[in-house]
Amino acid sequence: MDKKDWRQIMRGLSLLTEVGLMIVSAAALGFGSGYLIDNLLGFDLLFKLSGLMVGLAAGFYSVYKLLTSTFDD
Amino acid sequence: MNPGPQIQFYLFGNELLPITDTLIVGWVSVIIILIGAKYLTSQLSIRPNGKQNIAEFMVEMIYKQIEPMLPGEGWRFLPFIATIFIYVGIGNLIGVVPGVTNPTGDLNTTLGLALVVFLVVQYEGMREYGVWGYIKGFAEPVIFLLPINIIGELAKPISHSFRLFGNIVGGGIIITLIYQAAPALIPVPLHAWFGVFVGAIQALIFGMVAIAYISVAKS
Repeated sequence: MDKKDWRQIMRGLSLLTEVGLMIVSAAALGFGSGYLIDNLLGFDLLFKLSGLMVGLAAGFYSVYKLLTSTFDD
Repeated sequence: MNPGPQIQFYLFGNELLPITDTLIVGWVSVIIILIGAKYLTSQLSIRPNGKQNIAEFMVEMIYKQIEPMLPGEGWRFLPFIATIFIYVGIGNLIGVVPGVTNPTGDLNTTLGLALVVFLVVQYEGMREYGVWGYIKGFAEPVIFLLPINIIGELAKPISHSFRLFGNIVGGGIIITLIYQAAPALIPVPLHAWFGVFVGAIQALIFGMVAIAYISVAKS
């Protein structure tokens, strides 16, 4: 195993935990924003659910950008 | 058992600016780094001696992590990434000393570091594309990606800080439980595992993720 392989392993290891947590934190952020908007406008679930969906999408999209940017070489 | 930071005293009066044990250990870590840097870089020469070899090895090791992800800009980002890497590394390893709390086991510390990385990422994005170009990039390639990109960007410091905080606090709680359950059997290798190995790996990961975020902003 040469040094380049080790660097790839370290990069993979560093992103391993970040990937899962990024999806969760983006989803929580989306849900939290929806919760605030729902409280402000007097809705029940509308913005909470849409916020959660947008948050999940944001998490997956961020992970996609992070992985393509990190492993493009 | 309260794993959170403990208030030692207040800087002003009875309520203002609480100084916690993690903050004090954080300052001690900074002093250790300053003394170490001064010692390792005193009497530099063209032909390196023992301690200069250690300093050069560390600089080169961190540089080799940055350069493949930010081609041609390894030296520019080295001071920033190396500062993060060394501070988080010392902050993680100092917890091996009995009775000393990890500064990275406090969410205030890790969130502070993650926010610094977040600001640098925004600055680098604006430096690359211009202020308006960078802001406009959040709505590209299609406008409906705007909320997705904004939430994704704001989630970065949260996930960045919570991962380091969670790993260090989780390790500390496991060690405490093991100490209570089987004090004479497992603690030494387990303490070495969570204190030294996990601490070093987490420092490397924190720095690598910071490089990855900067790389995303510039790409």
